[in-house]
Amino acid sequence: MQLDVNRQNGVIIIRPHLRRIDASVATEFKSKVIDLIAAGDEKIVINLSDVDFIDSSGLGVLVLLLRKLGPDGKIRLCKVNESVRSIFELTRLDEVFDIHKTVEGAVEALLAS
Amino acid sequence: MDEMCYTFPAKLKYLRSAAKVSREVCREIDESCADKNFLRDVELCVSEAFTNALKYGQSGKTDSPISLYFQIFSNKLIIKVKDKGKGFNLENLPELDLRSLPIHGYGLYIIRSKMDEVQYVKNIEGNFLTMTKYFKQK
Repeated sequence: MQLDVNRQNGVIIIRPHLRRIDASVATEFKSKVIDLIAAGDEKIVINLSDVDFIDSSGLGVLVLLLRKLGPDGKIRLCKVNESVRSIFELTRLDEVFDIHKTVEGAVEALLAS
Repeated sequence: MDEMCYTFPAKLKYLRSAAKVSREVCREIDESCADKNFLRDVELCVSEAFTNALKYGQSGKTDSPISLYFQIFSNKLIIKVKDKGKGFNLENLPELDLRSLPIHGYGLYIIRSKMDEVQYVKNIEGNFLTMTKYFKQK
Protein backbone atom coordinates (compact mmCIF):
# COMPACT_ATOMS: atom_id res chain seq x y z
CA MET A 1 0.00 0.00 0.00
CA GLN A 2 1.44 3.34 -1.03
CA LEU A 3 1.00 6.67 0.73
CA ASP A 4 2.10 10.00 -0.72
CA VAL A 5 3.53 12.03 2.16
CA ASN A 6 4.26 15.74 1.82
CA ARG A 7 5.08 18.32 4.42
CA GLN A 8 3.97 21.91 4.25
CA ASN A 9 4.53 24.48 7.04
CA GLY A 10 4.60 21.79 9.70
CA VAL A 11 1.54 20.01 8.38
CA ILE A 12 1.84 16.53 6.98
CA ILE A 13 -0.34 15.79 3.99
CA ILE A 14 -1.11 12.13 3.47
CA ARG A 15 -2.64 10.83 0.28
CA PRO A 16 -3.35 7.11 0.29
CA HIS A 17 -3.07 5.62 -3.18
CA LEU A 18 -6.13 3.52 -2.56
CA ARG A 19 -9.43 3.28 -4.38
CA ARG A 20 -10.84 1.34 -1.45
CA ILE A 21 -10.24 1.63 2.27
CA ASP A 22 -11.74 -1.57 3.60
CA ALA A 23 -10.81 -4.24 6.14
CA SER A 24 -8.18 -5.69 3.82
CA VAL A 25 -6.02 -2.53 4.01
CA ALA A 26 -7.29 -0.74 7.14
CA THR A 27 -4.71 -2.19 9.53
CA GLU A 28 -1.77 -1.32 7.29
CA PHE A 29 -3.15 2.15 6.60
CA LYS A 30 -3.59 2.75 10.34
CA SER A 31 -0.05 1.55 11.15
CA LYS A 32 1.55 3.76 8.51
CA VAL A 33 -0.28 6.90 9.62
CA ILE A 34 0.35 6.19 13.31
CA ASP A 35 4.07 5.79 12.53
CA LEU A 36 4.03 9.25 10.98
CA ILE A 37 2.27 10.72 14.01
CA ALA A 38 4.71 8.97 16.35
CA ALA A 39 7.55 10.60 14.44
CA GLY A 40 6.30 13.96 15.64
CA ASP A 41 3.92 15.03 12.90
CA GLU A 42 0.84 15.94 14.85
CA LYS A 43 -1.03 18.04 12.34
CA ILE A 44 -2.25 16.00 9.46
CA VAL A 45 -4.35 16.38 6.36
CA ILE A 46 -5.66 13.23 4.77
CA ASN A 47 -6.32 13.68 1.08
CA LEU A 48 -8.95 11.13 0.05
CA SER A 49 -9.04 12.08 -3.63
CA ASP A 50 -8.22 8.56 -4.82
CA VAL A 51 -10.73 6.85 -2.53
CA ASP A 52 -14.15 5.96 -3.92
CA PHE A 53 -15.11 3.28 -1.40
CA ILE A 54 -14.79 3.25 2.38
CA ASP A 55 -16.29 0.75 4.78
CA SER A 56 -16.62 0.56 8.57
CA SER A 57 -13.00 -0.54 8.98
CA GLY A 58 -11.81 2.54 7.10
CA LEU A 59 -14.09 4.78 9.16
CA GLY A 60 -12.74 3.14 12.32
CA VAL A 61 -9.18 4.08 11.37
CA LEU A 62 -10.12 7.72 10.76
CA VAL A 63 -12.01 7.90 14.07
CA LEU A 64 -9.04 6.34 15.87
CA LEU A 65 -6.76 9.01 14.38
CA LEU A 66 -9.20 11.75 15.37
CA ARG A 67 -9.30 10.43 18.94
CA LYS A 68 -5.53 10.02 19.04
CA LEU A 69 -4.86 13.54 17.82
CA GLY A 70 -7.40 15.02 20.18
CA PRO A 71 -10.58 16.96 19.69
CA ASP A 72 -8.88 20.30 19.06
CA GLY A 73 -8.62 19.83 15.35
CA LYS A 74 -5.23 18.46 14.44
CA ILE A 75 -6.65 16.39 11.62
CA ARG A 76 -8.44 17.55 8.50
CA LEU A 77 -9.84 15.61 5.57
CA CYS A 78 -10.03 16.85 2.02
CA LYS A 79 -11.15 15.93 -1.49
CA VAL A 80 -13.79 13.51 -0.26
CA ASN A 81 -15.88 12.22 -3.16
CA GLU A 82 -19.66 11.99 -3.14
CA SER A 83 -19.82 8.27 -2.44
CA VAL A 84 -17.46 8.45 0.54
CA ARG A 85 -19.15 11.59 1.83
CA SER A 86 -22.50 9.80 1.88
CA ILE A 87 -21.03 7.24 4.32
CA PHE A 88 -19.72 10.05 6.51
CA GLU A 89 -23.20 11.57 6.51
CA LEU A 90 -24.85 8.24 7.30
CA THR A 91 -22.61 7.76 10.33
CA ARG A 92 -22.71 11.48 11.21
CA LEU A 93 -18.94 11.64 10.98
CA ASP A 94 -19.36 14.63 8.67
CA GLU A 95 -20.30 16.50 11.87
CA VAL A 96 -17.06 15.69 13.67
CA PHE A 97 -14.52 15.76 10.84
CA ASP A 98 -13.59 19.04 9.23
CA ILE A 99 -13.83 18.24 5.54
CA HIS A 100 -12.36 20.59 2.92
CA LYS A 101 -12.65 20.73 -0.84
CA THR A 102 -8.95 21.36 -1.41
CA VAL A 103 -5.64 20.43 0.17
CA GLU A 104 -4.78 24.12 0.47
CA GLY A 105 -8.01 24.86 2.31
CA ALA A 106 -7.38 22.02 4.76
CA VAL A 107 -3.78 23.14 5.43
CA GLU A 108 -4.87 26.76 5.96
CA ALA A 109 -7.56 25.68 8.39
CA LEU A 110 -5.08 23.60 10.36
CA LEU A 111 -2.53 26.41 10.52
CA ALA A 112 -5.21 28.84 11.69
CA SER A 113 -6.40 26.53 14.45
CA MET B 1 -36.63 -16.40 -8.41
CA ASP B 2 -33.03 -16.81 -9.54
CA GLU B 3 -30.47 -17.92 -6.98
CA MET B 4 -26.68 -17.75 -7.17
CA CYS B 5 -24.25 -19.06 -4.60
CA TYR B 6 -20.55 -18.29 -4.16
CA THR B 7 -18.27 -19.75 -1.53
CA PHE B 8 -15.01 -18.20 -0.36
CA PRO B 9 -12.29 -19.30 2.03
CA ALA B 10 -12.67 -17.39 5.30
CA LYS B 11 -9.71 -15.13 4.62
CA LEU B 12 -9.49 -11.37 4.46
CA LYS B 13 -7.79 -11.53 1.09
CA TYR B 14 -11.09 -12.71 -0.46
CA LEU B 15 -13.06 -9.71 0.80
CA ARG B 16 -12.68 -7.84 -2.49
CA SER B 17 -13.64 -10.87 -4.52
CA ALA B 18 -16.84 -11.10 -2.47
CA ALA B 19 -17.54 -7.41 -3.09
CA LYS B 20 -16.83 -7.85 -6.80
CA VAL B 21 -19.24 -10.78 -7.01
CA SER B 22 -21.99 -8.62 -5.49
CA ARG B 23 -21.42 -6.00 -8.21
CA GLU B 24 -21.62 -8.63 -10.92
CA VAL B 25 -24.83 -10.10 -9.50
CA CYS B 26 -26.46 -6.67 -9.35
CA ARG B 27 -25.66 -6.17 -13.03
CA GLU B 28 -28.10 -9.04 -13.73
CA ILE B 29 -30.90 -6.85 -12.36
CA ASP B 30 -32.71 -4.45 -14.68
CA GLU B 31 -31.08 -1.04 -14.35
CA SER B 32 -34.45 0.61 -13.85
CA CYS B 33 -34.81 -1.43 -10.62
CA ALA B 34 -31.26 -1.28 -9.37
CA ASP B 35 -29.49 1.99 -10.06
CA LYS B 36 -25.94 3.08 -9.20
CA ASN B 37 -26.88 3.77 -5.58
CA PHE B 38 -28.48 0.34 -5.23
CA LEU B 39 -25.29 -1.32 -6.49
CA ARG B 40 -23.15 0.79 -4.17
CA ASP B 41 -25.29 -0.05 -1.14
CA VAL B 42 -25.26 -3.77 -1.91
CA GLU B 43 -21.50 -3.83 -2.42
CA LEU B 44 -20.94 -1.97 0.83
CA CYS B 45 -23.26 -4.24 2.82
CA VAL B 46 -21.76 -7.43 1.36
CA SER B 47 -18.31 -6.11 2.25
CA GLU B 48 -19.47 -5.36 5.81
CA ALA B 49 -21.21 -8.72 6.16
CA PHE B 50 -18.17 -10.65 4.87
CA THR B 51 -15.91 -8.78 7.32
CA ASN B 52 -18.35 -9.54 10.15
CA ALA B 53 -18.44 -13.21 9.18
CA LEU B 54 -14.65 -13.26 9.41
CA LYS B 55 -14.73 -11.46 12.74
CA TYR B 56 -17.53 -13.32 14.49
CA GLY B 57 -17.92 -16.35 12.31
CA GLN B 58 -14.83 -18.34 12.97
CA SER B 59 -14.85 -20.96 15.67
CA GLY B 60 -11.09 -21.05 15.90
CA LYS B 61 -11.08 -24.78 15.22
CA THR B 62 -11.68 -24.85 11.51
CA ASP B 63 -11.39 -22.53 8.57
CA SER B 64 -15.03 -22.87 7.59
CA PRO B 65 -15.81 -21.13 4.33
CA ILE B 66 -18.12 -18.16 3.95
CA SER B 67 -20.97 -18.53 1.47
CA LEU B 68 -22.94 -15.78 -0.22
CA TYR B 69 -26.41 -16.55 -1.60
CA PHE B 70 -28.07 -14.03 -3.88
CA GLN B 71 -31.78 -14.44 -4.61
CA ILE B 72 -33.26 -12.16 -7.23
CA PHE B 73 -37.03 -11.77 -7.02
CA SER B 74 -39.25 -9.54 -9.15
CA ASN B 75 -39.28 -6.83 -6.49
CA LYS B 76 -36.25 -7.42 -4.28
CA LEU B 77 -32.78 -8.82 -3.81
CA ILE B 78 -32.10 -11.10 -0.84
CA ILE B 79 -28.50 -11.74 0.19
CA LYS B 80 -27.64 -14.42 2.72
CA VAL B 81 -24.18 -14.60 4.22
CA LYS B 82 -23.44 -17.94 5.85
CA ASP B 83 -20.63 -18.88 8.18
CA LYS B 84 -20.15 -21.71 10.62
CA GLY B 85 -18.52 -19.99 13.55
CA LYS B 86 -19.73 -19.01 16.98
CA GLY B 87 -21.73 -16.10 15.59
CA PHE B 88 -23.41 -13.38 17.61
CA ASN B 89 -26.85 -12.30 18.73
CA LEU B 90 -28.08 -9.45 16.57
CA GLU B 91 -30.85 -8.51 19.00
CA ASN B 92 -28.47 -8.24 21.95
CA LEU B 93 -26.03 -5.90 20.25
CA PRO B 94 -26.22 -2.44 21.79
CA GLU B 95 -27.36 0.45 19.64
CA LEU B 96 -24.40 2.34 18.24
CA ASP B 97 -23.98 5.66 20.03
CA LEU B 98 -22.60 7.79 17.22
CA ARG B 99 -22.02 10.75 19.55
CA SER B 100 -19.43 8.79 21.52
CA LEU B 101 -17.25 8.43 18.40
CA PRO B 102 -16.90 4.66 18.54
CA ILE B 103 -14.02 3.03 16.68
CA HIS B 104 -15.94 -0.21 16.09
CA GLY B 105 -19.54 -1.11 15.38
CA TYR B 106 -20.23 0.88 12.22
CA GLY B 107 -20.58 -2.26 10.09
CA LEU B 108 -23.93 -3.50 11.36
CA TYR B 109 -25.14 0.09 11.70
CA ILE B 110 -24.42 0.60 7.98
CA ILE B 111 -26.10 -2.69 7.03
CA ARG B 112 -29.20 -1.83 9.06
CA SER B 113 -29.32 1.63 7.52
CA LYS B 114 -28.84 0.60 3.90
CA MET B 115 -30.94 -2.55 3.83
CA ASP B 116 -34.74 -2.72 4.14
CA GLU B 117 -34.74 -5.88 6.26
CA VAL B 118 -31.96 -7.58 8.25
CA GLN B 119 -32.22 -10.91 10.07
CA TYR B 120 -29.68 -13.11 11.79
CA VAL B 121 -30.42 -16.77 12.32
CA LYS B 122 -28.25 -19.44 13.91
CA ASN B 123 -29.15 -23.04 13.19
CA ILE B 124 -27.53 -26.42 12.74
CA GLU B 125 -26.32 -25.49 9.24
CA GLY B 126 -24.57 -22.33 10.40
CA ASN B 127 -25.16 -18.64 10.96
CA PHE B 128 -27.13 -16.76 8.32
CA LEU B 129 -27.16 -12.99 8.03
CA THR B 130 -30.04 -12.24 5.67
CA MET B 131 -30.28 -8.82 4.07
CA THR B 132 -33.19 -7.74 1.90
CA LYS B 133 -33.27 -4.72 -0.36
CA TYR B 134 -36.34 -3.82 -2.40
CA PHE B 135 -36.01 -2.48 -5.91
CA LYS B 136 -37.02 1.01 -6.81
CA GLN B 137 -40.61 1.27 -7.99
CA LYS B 138 -40.63 1.36 -11.79
